[in-house]
Amino acid sequence: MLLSASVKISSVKDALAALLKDYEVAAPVSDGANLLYSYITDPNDVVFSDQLPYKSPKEFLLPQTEKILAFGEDSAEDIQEAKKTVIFDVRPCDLSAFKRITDKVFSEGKFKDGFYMRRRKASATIGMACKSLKPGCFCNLRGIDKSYSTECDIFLTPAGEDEYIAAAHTPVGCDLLKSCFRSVPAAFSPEPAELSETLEICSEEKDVFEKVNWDAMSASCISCGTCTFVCPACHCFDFKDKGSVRYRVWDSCMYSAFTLHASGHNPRAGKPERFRQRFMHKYVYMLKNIGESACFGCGRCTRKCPAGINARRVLECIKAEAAGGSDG
Amino acid sequence: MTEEKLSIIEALKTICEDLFSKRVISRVLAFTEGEIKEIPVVSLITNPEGLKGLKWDESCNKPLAKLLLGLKPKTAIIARPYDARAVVMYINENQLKRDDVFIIGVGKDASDFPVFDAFAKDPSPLQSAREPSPSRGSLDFFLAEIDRCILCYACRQACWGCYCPSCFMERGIPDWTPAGVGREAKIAFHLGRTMHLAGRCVECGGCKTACPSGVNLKYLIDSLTQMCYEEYGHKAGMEEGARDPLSDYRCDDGQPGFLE
Amino acid sequence: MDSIYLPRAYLITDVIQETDGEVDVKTFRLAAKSGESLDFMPGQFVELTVPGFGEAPFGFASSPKNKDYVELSIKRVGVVTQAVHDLSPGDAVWLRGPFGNSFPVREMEGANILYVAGGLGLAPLRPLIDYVFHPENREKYGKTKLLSAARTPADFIYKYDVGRWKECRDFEIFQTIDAPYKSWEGRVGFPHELLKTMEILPDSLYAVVCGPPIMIKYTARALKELGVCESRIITTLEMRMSCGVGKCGKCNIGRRYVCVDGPVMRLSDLAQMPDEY
Repeated sequence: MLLSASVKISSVKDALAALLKDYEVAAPVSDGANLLYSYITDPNDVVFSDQLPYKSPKEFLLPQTEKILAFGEDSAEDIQEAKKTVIFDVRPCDLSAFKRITDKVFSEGKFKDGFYMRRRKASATIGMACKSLKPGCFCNLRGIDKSYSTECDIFLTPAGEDEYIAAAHTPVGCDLLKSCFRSVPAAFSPEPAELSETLEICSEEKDVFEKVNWDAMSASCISCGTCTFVCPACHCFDFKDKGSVRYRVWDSCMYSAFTLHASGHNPRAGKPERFRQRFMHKYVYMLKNIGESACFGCGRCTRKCPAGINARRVLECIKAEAAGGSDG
Repeated sequence: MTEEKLSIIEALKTICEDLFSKRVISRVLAFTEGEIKEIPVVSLITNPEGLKGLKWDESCNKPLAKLLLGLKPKTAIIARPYDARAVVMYINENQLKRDDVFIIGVGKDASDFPVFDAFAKDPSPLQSAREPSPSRGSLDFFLAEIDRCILCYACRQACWGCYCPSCFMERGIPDWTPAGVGREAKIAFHLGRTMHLAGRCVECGGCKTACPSGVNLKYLIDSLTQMCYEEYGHKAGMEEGARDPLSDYRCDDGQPGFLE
Repeated sequence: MDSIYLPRAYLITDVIQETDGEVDVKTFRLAAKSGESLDFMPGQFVELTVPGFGEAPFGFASSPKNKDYVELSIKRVGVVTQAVHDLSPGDAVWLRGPFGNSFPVREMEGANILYVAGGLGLAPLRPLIDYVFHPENREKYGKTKLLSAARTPADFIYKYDVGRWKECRDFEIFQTIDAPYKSWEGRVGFPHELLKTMEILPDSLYAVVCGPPIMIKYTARALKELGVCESRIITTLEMRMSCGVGKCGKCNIGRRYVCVDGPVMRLSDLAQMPDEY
């Protein structure tokens, strides 16, 4: 922590107004039916609540659709527009998804994804403590302390009735805290959370692949892909060209077209194979490849699944079946 | 859950236990209790033991019948009237054999079901997730709904009428879809889907209940349903052997268009 | 931005109609508009764009020693390939790459090489064949044989290369078609059957097998039975992919991504991977 200060809750809207002068600001708003992250123009539209917006804020780093290239006569031009953005009220689960999954996938290794990195660099995140586990949430089983995170620029922790303790974790966070928030320096030593034992799959890839009864596991799935759309860690994408412009768009492993070859061959043609891919990618391949399962227990997929599939239950079943005997 | 609903569940359990013991069915497609009170779990129950968690209340409003596709041998479905209509539609469209499904109707009146094999009376039947349809031609309403759509296709996946192995939205040649998820793409998808459902909607509201954003564009389909009924006397899934107007061309019909 | 996603403009300088059989394959010779060369190793691939139609991955099909142009052999099968087939010399396409790993040419030095190609599978082998035949390299490798299979005589690609290759030292070529065909007097039968009639010395051999998945599976099994070590049976895989750099999440087989951990794989690698290709 570089800086900590106390901020009156009543002054946060003024801070957002100050931020709006230099930044695009994305924050939870209501569209009448749902709470969702959206670019705001008026701080009064922001909904302050303990609820989690139904989609993650990943769209501000990896938009659902984005123009990236324009093909000219002799050269292709980078046409991405990445505006300076502050994402407000991001919870510890989503912050970890950014820091530990999308940052690693897109910014590390041999190939670096300049489009993601440019947006990430242009963005600041203001985190917020979650007061309660919502139905379907299981961040406590995924190593996440819902009440505190350092994986952001500023983190707000409620302190008493009418104030937050703002902790700045980056130089950007310090600058924003000093320039946009009316704050009073205050000491802050967050108490380390007591976390439950982490729920993750330790079995070998082949065991998970072969021993788990994926047919039964996926029986009620309708391949709608909603889980991948609302998830903060899902990041699969496709390119789509229209005229001379190339777009990057979200894609979903739950769709059969995701892996369909032009020849008609499809290595993951059936629902069980696609369901297996989603869970194995999250909890087996990512753990092996980057050392972290791509799930932080935000529970969004569980809350939005039309078939009532509970991700935590599925994870527990996979773990048990993969570790169990060879019947499957 | 109310006393009334609990007694219905008991009745359903008795029916299903009997079917299991007589080996009439190999599984039951139904809602069961999940960990989260408000979220019922769609389940394929394969033994009497599994019937313990059976659920029947207002939250059980998600689509079921589509999961029957490809299921063999015989599966029982705890059906509302629209589930039964979906089964009839699947039979009419050669997607399902009557012998492969056992319909346990739950509703106010057995006559609401085009077909059923067993019936449990629910004096106060569950409301389907229908909302009053906005007036036709309300562009503002339409665009407001379109703007909330995230083009995830959950409505299509939940819809009984949408079972094409590959959707027109995902066909490369020709490419029907404007790139991205802007208004054009969403409008192309929803209007295209609506047209494909003319006379094929069983009015379950699944498109709305499955939508993560709560988008309601069912009223578009409703207007075609109404038109098909007025022009051709046809409602999807009401009668075994009936053909929907889109696949039943006759030289002597008046050929009124769907779009005015 | 120096972007992994930024393609470079190429001109089509020549189009060769390879087949007039059941499959329609054309080879496109491409030269960078900027004049710069594209350095790659045998086995690698590029992402090719036809603006307005999209992007798809193709293995290099020309000698890596050739710095003036690259060649890609493309079967007409989907949106992008149809669009490429509609182009002519003088038209532009876009490339980004090279991507993926390559054949272990260093490790293969000193060994004999058996190439087994099924149909268009000869395309990814061609850079390797020409690399080995290059005067700088020929001494480093032993005897080489090519077993090339096609559905019908009309489906063989690079017919014009056969004469050139036959002149190379210690090279034998065997061509076979799937089923008897009028006017065809050569071999008939699948590669895995013919292998049993060929003289194979497994100890000092690398077998490189490219073709349809089913042909790879049968041929690899036959090679194993002939005593060829699993780690020296090598193939290339094809999967749908968007990015080519391990980000988009499409081309994985188990935890491995064909675009970065492949497309070249050893049978010993494949044995460790789930069967989902």
